[in-house]
Amino acid sequence: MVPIKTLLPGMFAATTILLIIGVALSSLLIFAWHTGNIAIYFDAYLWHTLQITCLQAALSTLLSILAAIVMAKVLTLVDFRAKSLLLKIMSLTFFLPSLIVVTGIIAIYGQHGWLAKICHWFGLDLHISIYGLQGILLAHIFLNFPYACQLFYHTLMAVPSEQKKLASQLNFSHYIFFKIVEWPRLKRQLLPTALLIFMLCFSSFAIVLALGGGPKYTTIEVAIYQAIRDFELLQAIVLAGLQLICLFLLLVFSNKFNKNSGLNISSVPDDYKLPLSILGYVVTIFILTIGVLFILAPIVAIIVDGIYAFRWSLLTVPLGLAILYSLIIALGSAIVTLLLSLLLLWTNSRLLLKNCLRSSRNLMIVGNLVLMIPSMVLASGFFLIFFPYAEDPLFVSLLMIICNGLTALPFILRVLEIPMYDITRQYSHLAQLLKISGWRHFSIIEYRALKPLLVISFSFAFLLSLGDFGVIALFGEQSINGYSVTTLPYYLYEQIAHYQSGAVTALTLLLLSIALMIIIDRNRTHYDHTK
Amino acid sequence: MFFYRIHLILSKLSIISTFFRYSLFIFPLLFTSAVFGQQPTLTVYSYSSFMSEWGPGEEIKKGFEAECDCQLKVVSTGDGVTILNRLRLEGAKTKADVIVGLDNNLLAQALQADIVVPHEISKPENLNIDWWDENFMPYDYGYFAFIYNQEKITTPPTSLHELIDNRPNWKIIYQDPRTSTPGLGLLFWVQKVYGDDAPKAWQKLAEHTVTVTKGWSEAYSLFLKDEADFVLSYSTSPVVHILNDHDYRYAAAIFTEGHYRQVEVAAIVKQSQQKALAAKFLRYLLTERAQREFAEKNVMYPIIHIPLSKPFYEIKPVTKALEFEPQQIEQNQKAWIRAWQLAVSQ
Repeated sequence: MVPIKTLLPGMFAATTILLIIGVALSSLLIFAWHTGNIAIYFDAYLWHTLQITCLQAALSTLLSILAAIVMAKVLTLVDFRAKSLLLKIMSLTFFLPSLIVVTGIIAIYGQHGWLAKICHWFGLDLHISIYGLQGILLAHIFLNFPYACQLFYHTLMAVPSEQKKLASQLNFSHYIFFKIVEWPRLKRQLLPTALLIFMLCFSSFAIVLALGGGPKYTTIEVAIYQAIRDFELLQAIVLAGLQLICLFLLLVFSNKFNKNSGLNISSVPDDYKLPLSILGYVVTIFILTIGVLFILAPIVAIIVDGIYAFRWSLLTVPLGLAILYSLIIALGSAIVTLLLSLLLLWTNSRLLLKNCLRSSRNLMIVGNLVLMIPSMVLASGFFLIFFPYAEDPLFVSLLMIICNGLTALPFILRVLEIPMYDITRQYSHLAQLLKISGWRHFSIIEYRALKPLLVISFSFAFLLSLGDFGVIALFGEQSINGYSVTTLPYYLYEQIAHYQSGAVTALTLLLLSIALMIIIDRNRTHYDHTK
Repeated sequence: MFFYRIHLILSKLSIISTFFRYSLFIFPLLFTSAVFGQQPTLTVYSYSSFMSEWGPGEEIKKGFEAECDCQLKVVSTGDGVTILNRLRLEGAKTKADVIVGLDNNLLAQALQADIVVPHEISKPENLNIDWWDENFMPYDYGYFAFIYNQEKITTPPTSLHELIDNRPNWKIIYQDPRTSTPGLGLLFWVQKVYGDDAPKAWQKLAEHTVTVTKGWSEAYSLFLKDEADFVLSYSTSPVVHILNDHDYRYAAAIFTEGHYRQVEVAAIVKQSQQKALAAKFLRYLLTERAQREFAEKNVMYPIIHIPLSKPFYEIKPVTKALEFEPQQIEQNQKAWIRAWQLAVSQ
């Protein structure tokens, strides 16, 4: 029914993915058995870990969503020149490397951060510790709230101006208007957004490791790392299983409630603003200022500290090597991701066209499988097999390329899945007529039509790999005669750990990320126009 | 053993030497054996700080290679625990001849894993402490201690009880026993002094803890940035400040209950095909030159009695050493760590 030639690319990609995951998991299991360390602790601390993981994720989600709603509402009320720039920045903080977030947060809220300095200047002695739950929450809110906010903002802006005009004629208060007009629209978007944030916070690693302040505030992901370091492999597997169950339940739950999310926001250009009282205006400006400061301060702090701390002597060879390794690994993993996703989607689009919905769904599940498996588990599985080569730079780079490439896959699939299908469907008759298929089909049709999207996907995968701090945490310690693979985030972590001037490294990483984000943004605009 | 890292904070990077080190590294090291094929290669497994720019490894490697007519290949991997685990995993296939960097807390585990053979080196006359083992050769030792700034703290605690009861509300930073050697040392120390009451002591300590860090260096640099009054480190820590900056402000609080002792050891791997050369390397570690490297780069006490630089005699000496038997550690370590986790998570 479906020719084998069309199936082949997807099958190949799916087999590769399954093989990689299978090898990693089975090696972990075999070694767990082999070490003879079969102690599993189902004790109070395990439940404590689970509770804290859920608690911090729930609090982070709740606070991010609340802040996002308030800020989105405020943004709809006023206009200012840099608004579109602000919205762009807001959609990007979500993808900042987590260690950049940690650096920024420490620079602002640390014991010797900007906030403490300003308070000190006013004669106030501020003694807030950044370590613990508050630090984790702060970092998670910084990471997630702007993203949610710009989503909500676009929803609120889609309220037709007729309704707004009517509301102001009827003398609705802002509260009533929000309740009966805006809230029903927001509600539909609330759950998917909250779930996404919850899932990301649930499996948070670098932020919790750096700001958690000890065993009291930890996540399952950090506990897996600890267990692997102690070679309590079976315990690591149990923890990974626990995480898998939680995320799976969450997904089932979300699918159940998520059926009516086929939300189509048609952004109508709309200039009408609800009238504001003077008090309302003051409050709005106040909230807006706080929000903007909250979002921009850590980023500005990194830039300013980086420039301030800049010395030519800080551009050391280790930093150069870290940049080089980061770029090579990111380039490699972006290629892996793009290749795998194109192979999967090539077959997927044709399966959908032939109405083979089930096969298509199975294929996509394979592509998204990595979302459920902690990257630490994947990395440690490989780590155990390739232990003897753990200090060979070439080998470690290759391994990181594969791991990072797989980790980015679900995100890229999301970007490309629907456009690939649309383009295939659109040209299917013409292609059949002209007998265009295979490589020529790709180069003539997909490549030309989707070029901006392919660039976006590539940059996106590049960005995700560039900021990765997880896999390298296991491999960075290995070396021969003192030489080892270091990536920018790992180098930054080492520097933060030593309270060295990580400023320049952080700035480098931030600038690289911003450059990629600009590429993504440019191409997105380009794609939206050509569509 | 993590002390070399203080140089990271106190001294600057030398670009030229780093460039030289790293430029070699870009080319895979695979062909080194082909080039130097005529000489035997002795493979040493050690912790990552050993070979770092501030560790004793580089000098020791040079010194030994000058007299052994061999190549030394130092494979670094995390810390003592990682070395042990790696050898366990590699089993009979291991390429290691010598391990440098286990300590007295890992001995029972290492014996049980059956990875070493007796070194057959006779006990030297001039040992600094009465510690010798037929399988594991000690090369340096030190005592865990809390370090403070004498300008800020004028009446330091004189016992562990006083520190943990903590009337003056001192702020304390220590390390995670799961990921750090001093952290593990504190775990045993508290266990030795408090026994079954240890969980209560941990809870009291938790009330005054700024943060529990992953490693020694995070904790110590936070302390130097004035974020805490006391930091867990070694009694020899003030030596670095005196040596590098003539800074006499920092001191170790000496406790009447005694201080937990760490003894770092080296051993010959069971699978080694070059046991004679391996033994030669171990003997080299006991020479005055190597011992001086360990003392000054690791900032620990040398195991052999050698004349030391002045600061070692200027710091306050520890009067009583505490240590668990290896078997006690092996049987209880996991349980104690779980108890600690639970106590500080309340």
